[in-house]
Amino acid sequence: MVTATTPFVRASNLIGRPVVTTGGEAELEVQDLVVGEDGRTISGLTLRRPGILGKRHVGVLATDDIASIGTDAVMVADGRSFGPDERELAVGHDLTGRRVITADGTAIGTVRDVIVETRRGRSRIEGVELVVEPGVSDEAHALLALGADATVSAEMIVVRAGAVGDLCTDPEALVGSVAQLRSRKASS
Amino acid sequence: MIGLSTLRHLDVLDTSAAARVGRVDAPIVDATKHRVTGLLVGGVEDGAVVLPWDAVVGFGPDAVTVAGADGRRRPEDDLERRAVEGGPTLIAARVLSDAGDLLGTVHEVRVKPSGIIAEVDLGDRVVPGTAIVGLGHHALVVRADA
Repeated sequence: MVTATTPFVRASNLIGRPVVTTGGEAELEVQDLVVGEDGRTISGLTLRRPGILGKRHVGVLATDDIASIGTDAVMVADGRSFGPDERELAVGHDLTGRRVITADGTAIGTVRDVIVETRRGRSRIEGVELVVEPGVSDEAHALLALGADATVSAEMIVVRAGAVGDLCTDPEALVGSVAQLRSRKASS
Repeated sequence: MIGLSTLRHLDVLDTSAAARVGRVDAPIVDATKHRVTGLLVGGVEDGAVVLPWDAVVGFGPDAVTVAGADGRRRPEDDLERRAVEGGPTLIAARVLSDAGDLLGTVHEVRVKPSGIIAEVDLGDRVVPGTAIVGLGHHALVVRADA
């Protein structure tokens, strides 16, 4: 019945998405992503409650408590309550603004958004959208699959040598690039 | 089959007294059991009352009929109290799959005489009533694999 949708979503598109219980109620919305220590795994979502006086932070929804992330809502089990959580301590790994450099020393660009795979049971940053460095590509903005061996630090993201050739602008090409990198990793 | 959208604002007639005893405000839906359990009846002097589905004798194009006043009563459980206090609306509700994808809005809900919801019509597709997961103020949630 339901048309299959891509499991990849821009983090910026998740912000503001309603959090809906299976009972059909939605009092909260996504405030931000909580990225784990590895800089790749999404460990949860911070939530906020829209109100007359603005949007108030209410706590963290752990990835394990998410039933599904769809194109229009984040689904959680009915009766789930949210409150301040120690996992909020893990907040702060916002990748936007970090430089992306290849292992052979080419600066490709600066992260302006991250691409998250939201397939059930898997929430991980699989790609980035970049403001491309002048001279690297004809495009001002491009998508790049990170691959399993990308290293994320507080300063930068180091990706495979030759990653410049994988820059693309089509989201479907990014999905293909992620799959290609996975199969290459599996066969190595 | 009864279309729920056709019931709204219909008069409720007591055939034993040949009297109008109220009007249909909204169906009371137990989403987890995929059924309509009753009707919220307004237009009565002392506030809204509940008319259990089983108490309805007939669903006509111009009126819902009951035989006597015995069937109507005050809300008794959480579902009925919630309906009186402004429960979620089914007709025109947004429909989400439990995967979080918007499927459309409810155009019509067709109910069997027993109160069981047979199907939810979204205009461009029909979802079986058994696929309903929940009904809230934000959306009707249905199983993605239905």
